[in-house]
Amino acid sequence: MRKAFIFTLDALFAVSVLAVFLTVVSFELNVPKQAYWLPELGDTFMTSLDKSGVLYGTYLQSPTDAQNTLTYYLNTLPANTNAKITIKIYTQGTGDTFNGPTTIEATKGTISQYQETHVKRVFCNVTNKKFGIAELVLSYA
Amino acid sequence: MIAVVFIINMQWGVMLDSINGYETANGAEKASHVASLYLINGPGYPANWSYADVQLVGLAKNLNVLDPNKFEQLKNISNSTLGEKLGVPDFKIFINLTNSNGGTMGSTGLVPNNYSTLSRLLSYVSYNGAPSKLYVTVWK
Repeated sequence: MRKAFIFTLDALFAVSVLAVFLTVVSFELNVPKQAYWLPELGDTFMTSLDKSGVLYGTYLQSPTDAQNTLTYYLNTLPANTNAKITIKIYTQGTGDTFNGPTTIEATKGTISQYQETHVKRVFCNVTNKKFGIAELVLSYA
Repeated sequence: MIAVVFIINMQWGVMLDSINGYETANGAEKASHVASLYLINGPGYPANWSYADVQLVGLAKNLNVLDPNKFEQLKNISNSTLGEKLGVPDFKIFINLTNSNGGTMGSTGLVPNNYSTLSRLLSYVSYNGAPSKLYVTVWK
């Protein structure tokens, strides 16, 4: 009588463990996966601005014109994304010192902290002794 | 005990549905990803390919910088072999290149119709010195 009772408890315990395991697994499978395309979109966006000379061009524009240029390109991103790009430009002073930064910011919508992605690029203009750091933050709208 | 078995059965069904749904969506997404990477990351094979001898399609002069001549060659590749040349033989392909405003600069492949699965991936590229958009749609 006592052995049978213990056996029943063991079986119930084993089944309970299995039920908990399956519950956890199914919960994990139902958690929304982060879309892989958001980081890739940000990466290709920044690379295309870099390779097309848009980032480099901000050296040559007034801060207002540079902001307008960046806003234009941000607005070409898909409607279901919000974005913010920040460019900091440093100019070499005497010796190893650098002056700045001059900061240029442009935004599209309001960045959501939900599934945001960051992409950075560093670019330089040796002739004008300047370098810049560009950071894009991209999120779902 | 019956209740416990019922819960297990229910959870198992939910799990199978999740796995099946995820894998179906993931197949087309992976294919659009693979095709896009081939197009924008490398020159293809052979490196100076033409539509007549191409084995693997790539459009890049440098990373994300597309070669306009190769984009013209791409338009001459038959729709039936385009998927195979982009590493996704099980899918049909539609490729659309636009300027940053969305104005079409060229397209090739089969426009999706009567599809059971479809994935469309946007990549930014540099084309003729300007930021442009490359849409790769895979479907079947």
